[in-house]
Amino acid sequence: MTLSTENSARELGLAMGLTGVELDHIVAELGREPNRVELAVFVGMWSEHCSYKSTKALLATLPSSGPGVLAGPGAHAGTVDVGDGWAIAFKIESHNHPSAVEPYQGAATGVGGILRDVVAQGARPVAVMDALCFGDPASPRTRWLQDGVVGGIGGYGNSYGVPNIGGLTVYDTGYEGNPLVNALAAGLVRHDGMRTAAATGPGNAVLIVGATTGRDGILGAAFASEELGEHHEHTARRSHVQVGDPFMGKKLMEAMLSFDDGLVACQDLGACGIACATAEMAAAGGSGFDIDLDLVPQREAGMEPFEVLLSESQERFMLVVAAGRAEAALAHFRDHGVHAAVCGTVTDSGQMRVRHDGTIVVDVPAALVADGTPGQQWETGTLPGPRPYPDFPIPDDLGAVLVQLIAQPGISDHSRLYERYDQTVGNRTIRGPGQGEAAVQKLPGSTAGYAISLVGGGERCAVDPYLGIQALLGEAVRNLGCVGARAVAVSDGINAGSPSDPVEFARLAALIRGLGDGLRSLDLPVTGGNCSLYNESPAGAIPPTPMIGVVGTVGDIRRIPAVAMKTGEILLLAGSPPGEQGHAAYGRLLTGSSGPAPSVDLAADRRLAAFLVGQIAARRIRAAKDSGRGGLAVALAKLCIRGGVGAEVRGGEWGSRPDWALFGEGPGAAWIATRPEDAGALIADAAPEGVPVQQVGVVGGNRLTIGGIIDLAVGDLATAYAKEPA
Amino acid sequence: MSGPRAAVIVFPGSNGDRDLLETLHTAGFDAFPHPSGRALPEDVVLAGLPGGFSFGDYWRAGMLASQEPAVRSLDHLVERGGLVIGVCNGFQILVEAGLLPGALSYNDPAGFRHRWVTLECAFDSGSPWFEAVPAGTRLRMPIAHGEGSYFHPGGFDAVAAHAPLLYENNPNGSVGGVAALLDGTGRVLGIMPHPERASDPDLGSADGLRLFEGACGAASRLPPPASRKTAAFRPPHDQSGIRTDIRSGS
Repeated sequence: MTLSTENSARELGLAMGLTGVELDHIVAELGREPNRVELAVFVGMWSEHCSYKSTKALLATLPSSGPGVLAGPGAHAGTVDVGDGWAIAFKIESHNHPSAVEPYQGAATGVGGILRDVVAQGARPVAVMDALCFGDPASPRTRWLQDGVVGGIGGYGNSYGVPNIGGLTVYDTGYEGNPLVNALAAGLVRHDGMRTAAATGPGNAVLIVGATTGRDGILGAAFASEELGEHHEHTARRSHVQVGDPFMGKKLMEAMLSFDDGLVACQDLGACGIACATAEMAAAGGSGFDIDLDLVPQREAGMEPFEVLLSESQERFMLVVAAGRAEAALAHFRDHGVHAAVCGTVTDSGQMRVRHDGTIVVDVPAALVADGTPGQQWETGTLPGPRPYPDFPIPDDLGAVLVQLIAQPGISDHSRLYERYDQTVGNRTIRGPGQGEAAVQKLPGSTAGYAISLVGGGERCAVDPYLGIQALLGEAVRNLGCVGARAVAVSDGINAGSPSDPVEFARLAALIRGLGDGLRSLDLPVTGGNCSLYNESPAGAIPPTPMIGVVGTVGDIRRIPAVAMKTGEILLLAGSPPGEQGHAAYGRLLTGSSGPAPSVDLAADRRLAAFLVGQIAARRIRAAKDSGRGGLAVALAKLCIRGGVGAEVRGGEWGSRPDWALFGEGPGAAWIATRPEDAGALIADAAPEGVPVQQVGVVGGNRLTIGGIIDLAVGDLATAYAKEPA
Repeated sequence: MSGPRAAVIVFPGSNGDRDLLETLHTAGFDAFPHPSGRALPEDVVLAGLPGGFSFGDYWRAGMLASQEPAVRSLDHLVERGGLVIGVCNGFQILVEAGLLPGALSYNDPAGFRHRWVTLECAFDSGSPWFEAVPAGTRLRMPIAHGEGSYFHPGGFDAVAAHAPLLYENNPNGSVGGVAALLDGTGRVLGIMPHPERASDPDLGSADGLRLFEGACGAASRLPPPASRKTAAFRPPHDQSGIRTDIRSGS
């Protein structure tokens, strides 16, 4: 980008991506034309990525308060009470566009960025989870992307020392030109240790700490708010991608978490760098900032003011420190081997005022920059009706179908990917990747813990966004129930196409409406999240793809079910086998279409989860797995594979379409393995809680048999399951 | 806190220091973090080098860390009868510093790998680290490394007598499946898997704790720390760049 002097501010603003309405608004508010540096600040800060101008009104409809919520949307990371005086700060972020261009660094800096949000909240990072969507698993481009993305997530997190405790990988041709890289980070903080971005106290010092500021990632936020072109076009955008340094990130984290003497406020420097932090911190505190760019430690000489302001160099924080404590703060960071410099002062002007080379180059109201977009109205189109779903007869050999299903990329074993992530550093992981329906960690010095379920994908949302996102919510709540965790709060990562396309905007609106209605029926708040739009390539928009992260509390980690079921245990089926609707993976395998709209029953999921939590607390459940992708049959097959043991399930429960009952992805159902002596009490407890539970089989042998329908060697299932995803 | 004094050397980029501290406490040590930029204090009987990516490990793992004052003072600790454990990156640092022979190279197959593995104790070494781990004992603990393939120019035979723990299924191409190595005194242990993470049945295994409990028992019987002797720092490597002899200590 060049800020040539030949064009008027208006022409330049339009060329850089501001709309006419936005430019008019800026001029009206300032009472003058913005200068070129100010214009660059508005371009970045009013991009979709920073301003949420297209989604703000939609997101405001989501429920965001609840009894356990200590900090909600607007905080660095949503923070919820998990007991013993501890809280979990957690949030989902996307780094889709950078990862499409430069997969290793794109993914690494995505992880680094979300970890800084957690640290800014005052929390010590304890977990990362990842949600990835790629195109055809067999294509060379997918392999290149996946190798880089997984390498980057691992490369950053492993070095930083935060375990990756689970996630998901989805393969769908809809992501061929625009892969999705979302990461969830969680940290532990004492209730009284939370930090704020609200800068107050005129005269207090503004510090920049961490890495020096260079010419990397300038206007990355604006790049993230465009559609991707052909691959060869966006390789030219590599200069918009940042480069991560986990070693510096780790040192900076330790320095930040051990600093509190005189700390008033802090914020991580992410999208739009110093411009964003100054405007948002001042706006949040109702104050102003005077910043001198000459005092910002720079990586190279001769950087333009807009470059210093908008650089997205990684591993940096901005701090406000009480006047008189700045010298001590500088000494603290020096002791930790981290750069720090005083670069400005808090004022009561409400202005974001930036000096460069003795001249004021920016002088605009902080609140206008941070939160003043006129908003963007998009036309809402009509959602396409349900796609015709071909009728097909019951396949002759449902066992063969099960073997095929369990080998599908996205269902099959992903442990080879997860091996590239450290899962146990920190001595907190009780259930990591592949060890349970949700990840579980323990609180310091306690047998209490917390669980996190991260689910997502666009397969069902492409059919019906409203119901699809609710099906995901239900799955997350069931997952938590299976590890004995009571859901507390949600972070959402929404990935969608361009809002300028009326149909895509209608999909986005339906997703958020479905999320809000779903949360209300589950009594759950959303405490933060991320919206990534413009996920389009020349092949079109991605399927509307939400990622849902739910944190729950675990009363006693010693009571959660075992990783696997064992011979001699009784198999129970909780909930009812699904009817005819909602068999995405099965339908796609047989017909190429993901089937009719998913069936959703959040009340049933909620009852099932509460029942599981109660029975796990009563130590009656030895293993539990809810019906997810591929339905009850895939869930049972995975239980068998995990335990290296067979199961014998009676027939007669599966109706006239046993394929729908076994492979359908209906709500409210789970397998439970229990000791014979506990089965009676467990079943007796179920009816009053409104959960149908019946004894359907036993665990043992080395074959999985379901009535006269399926009879397979567990070893054959394990072989199919272990097939490499790519 | 009572118990033998144990220092966990914290390098910039260490990330397993808290886990190692916690496990040393559990085993009965009075453990504390010690910055790598200073020589070890005289009153410690054990030094732990934790896992992580010291100095970012952007060059050969452990190379920069091996030059730190705390590492240079390990010689003196060993000479006066102290114990040393280097876990993962700590093992790499001990090898780079020449306290243990051989080298740790890129995994084969290549790439960072996290996995729960089973180790078998190959013989009774008489080492204080193995007081509670007799020959034939199987230990379960995680590995998490990208450069953990143990190499020695003399092959397995050259180090077999000093390799008390072997992988059941070699995960990284280490010669002879070597997972851990003792120096000639038996008091310096380098181990690539993470015993400090297998320290609590809730975490999946408490097998690793046995190493630390053995060490704590031995450390409790050590005489009080001797007065400081001046120990010259010896260049650690031979001309090939890899130390091949096994030091017996004094």
